[in-house]
Formats: sequence, structure tokens, C-alpha cells
Amino acid sequence: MVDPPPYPERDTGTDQGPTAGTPRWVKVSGIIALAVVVLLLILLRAGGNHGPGRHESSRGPGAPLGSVPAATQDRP
Amino acid sequence: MALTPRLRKLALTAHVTSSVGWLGAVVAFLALSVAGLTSQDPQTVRAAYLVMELTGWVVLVPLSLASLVTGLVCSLASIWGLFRHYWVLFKLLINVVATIVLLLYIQTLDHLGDVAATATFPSSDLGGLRSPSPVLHAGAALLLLFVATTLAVYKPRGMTRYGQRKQRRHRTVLIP
Repeated sequence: MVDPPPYPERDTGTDQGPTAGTPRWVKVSGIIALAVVVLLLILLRAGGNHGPGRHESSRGPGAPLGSVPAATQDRP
Repeated sequence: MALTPRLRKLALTAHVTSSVGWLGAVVAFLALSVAGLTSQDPQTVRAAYLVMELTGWVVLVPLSLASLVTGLVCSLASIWGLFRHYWVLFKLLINVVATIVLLLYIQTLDHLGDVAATATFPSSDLGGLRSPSPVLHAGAALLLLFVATTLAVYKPRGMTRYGQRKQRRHRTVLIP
């Protein structure tokens, strides 16, 4: 059993042979992907810390939920 | 890479299974992350983050790596190639980016899981645990994997320059 050739009915066509330029869907997808990457980079730069440390609250990592931050414990 | 037709079918079956399994696992992960973000029950929130951590290590990471490896085998062992067609190239990029982001994000899941595991109850303060981050990451992953699946099914035409060169060379050999 042999795989069928890719686009067998199209590569024998006349107007759009295999040497045609970059397809429109590739250009559009590339522009969208680039825009998303730039947007993400801007958001990451504006958002500051990104990663596990971002979710550490003032109580510190691994501290029980509902515990009081150390800095506020001695306040009256 | 030369494979017998039977091995090619096996590799393709493994690729489809792991890729679609990955997509399904992300849907389940998204449901957990929404529950973790919105539930009013502290135990549900805690359980959601613990299961998310486990799912990340036991399901998502293995499936993503399996999808990547089987995808490489399938493309290199078939006439589609890895760099000849844009749709294959896009799928490869999506798979690599999604896998890298997942491997980096697993540290955040570990952290959230640790916080959930050490949380004391009863507690109404879940602010440190609740995070929209898993929802955002799972949503983005779902979108990427859906695009990859669509590309695999529709196989939109378009050859890269490398693919065109290879095809011209192939035709020259066949028709000197």
C-alpha cells in the first residue's frame, strides 16, 4: 500500500502549478501569528513577573490559605 | 526515513490518537481551571488545582511529547515531508510552541498545586489560589490545537520553496 501523492489532481492543473507563490492563507496566518506574538510580548512586558512567582501572594509561597502575612501579624 | 506501509499506518494511528487525546485533555483541563476560578466551595477549588497539576504531568506532557514525536515520524516517513508543505510546517510550529509553553507552564501548575496541598480549611481566603492564568493558557492551547487539527484534516495547498525545489528535482529525475 502506497500513500497517494499530495494534491494529485491539482499539481497537473494549469493556472496554479507547484511553483505558484506563497498562498494567501499562509500570508494571512503569518500576519495573525506575528500580531499575536507581538501582543503577547507587549502584555508580558507590561505585566511584569510571569511564571510561578507571579502567583505568590504577600503571605509567601506555600503558606496556608487564610494565614496572615508576617508583616501585619504584630499590628494592633 | 523509510518505513513499511504497516509501520507508517501505526505511526499515523499513534499520531492521531495522541494529538486528539491532547486536545481532549486540554478541554478537561479547561473545565477544571474554570471550576478552580469560579467555584465558591474551597474544597472544589483546592481539588481543581491539585487535579490540574496531576493532569499536567501525567496526561498533558506525555501526550504533547507523543504528538510531537509521532508527528515527526509521520511526516519524515511519508511523501509529505517536514518542510515541503506549509500546512505541515504550521502544524510543526504549533506543536513545538504548545509543547514548550506547556513545559514552562508546568512549573506554575506545580506551584498552584503546592499552594492547594498546603491550604488549611475552613478558609474563605482563596484569592492566593484562584488564578485566571490556567483558563487563559488552556484556552490558547485549545485554539492552537484546534487549528492544528483543522490543518491536518483540510491539508490546504501550498508548497514551501524547499518543497518546490525538491519536486522540481524529483521531476527532473523522472523525466530527464
